[in-house]
Amino acid sequence: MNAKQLMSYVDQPETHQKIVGDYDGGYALGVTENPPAFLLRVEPEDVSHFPTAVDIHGVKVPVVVKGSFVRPVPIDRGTQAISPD
Amino acid sequence: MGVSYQSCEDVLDTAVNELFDSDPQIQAVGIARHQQAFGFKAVKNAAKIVPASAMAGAAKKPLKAIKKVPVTIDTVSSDIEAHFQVPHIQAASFIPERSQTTPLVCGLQIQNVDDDDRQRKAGALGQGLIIIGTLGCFVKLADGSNAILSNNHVLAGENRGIKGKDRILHPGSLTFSSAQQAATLTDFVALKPSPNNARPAKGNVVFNAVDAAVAALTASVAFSQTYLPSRHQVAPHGTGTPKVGDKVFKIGRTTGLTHGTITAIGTVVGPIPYDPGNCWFNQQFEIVGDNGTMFSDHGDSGSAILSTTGEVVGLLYAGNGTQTYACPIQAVLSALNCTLL
Repeated sequence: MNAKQLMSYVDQPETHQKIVGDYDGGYALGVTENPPAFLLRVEPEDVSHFPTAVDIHGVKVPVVVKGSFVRPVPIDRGTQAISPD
Repeated sequence: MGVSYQSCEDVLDTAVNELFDSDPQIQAVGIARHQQAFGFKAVKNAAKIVPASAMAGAAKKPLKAIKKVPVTIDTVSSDIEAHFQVPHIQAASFIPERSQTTPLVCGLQIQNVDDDDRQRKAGALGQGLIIIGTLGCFVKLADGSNAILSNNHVLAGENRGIKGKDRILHPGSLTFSSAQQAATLTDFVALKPSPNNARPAKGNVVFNAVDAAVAALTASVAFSQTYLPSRHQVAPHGTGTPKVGDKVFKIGRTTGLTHGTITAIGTVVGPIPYDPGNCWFNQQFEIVGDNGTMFSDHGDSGSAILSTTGEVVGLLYAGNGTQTYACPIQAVLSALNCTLL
């Protein structure tokens, strides 16, 4: 399955059920290449209980799992202190 | 009295060590303009809470010179996150996009002054503070007018913005300044929060496709779809599709020019904390800064992400110090019914 095909599965609930299950932390699940695979970033440092491959319509798709993910934030929140006019 | 740039560079490592050792609130050290020459500039976050034990080893007085190179220390009060990888190679004072510039160009600092005023009156924004972001690029709206493209959370205050009324300033001010008026908020894609217990696996997440808004340029304001000449970067022209492995760059008001690589596409990411609630996004893409550098930081939101040949591929909106997340530009333009100039 190539990256374009994986993109059509990456936001399906079934895909998330298979990959993250009942994990309730912050995460990012995307598609990477060389080879085509799902890229999962999760908060725990220990990622041993996340799968390294999932079955998508009979095709075994690798899952690259990376731990120690920090939940992203909208990045305008930094405020600037300025002197009154 | 400053010294030559080379003199600074020769003892930069020493300066970095001494300045960071001298004050645990120092966040960045670099070479900066000093009078007619150069010196070291450090940026200190005075709001950072530091254990008493760390302060005990700090210098009693700020360093004024290192190896005869003058030192100045800028004090800021911005948030600091624990997951910073490395101090950015450019100290805050190096970022020219924060200074008022004519004509307006991509990458400049902008502010919704009216939203800030409302937030300040509501007690949600401290006195003496403004919320800032980055002008991504220029677009043509469906009615033919020219506009600034940036994030909802930069131009429209996370759904609080008042279309047709809120004034966008460059670079920004505590109170409205007609000399700084760049644009007026025209349209935004509302951010849709999900319930706190929502998860993609449960199928109960409301996905957002973009964090984007447009503000029609004030008639008398000159603009150019380029970056500051000092950046020597290709101007945004045309659009492209993000692909894994592509090299990209952005220019933003906080970290200036940074380079990175697209590491994932089609990405689902969340929950991201916005004022209306936690938001999930889908079909996004992820960038990681090259060589361990940060690709973006607070205030870079709204920056356009360009391929190395100048095609706009996305609009930056979130990050964590290591990964940066962006909306594909085609989804942004489609959602706001506009085209790249």
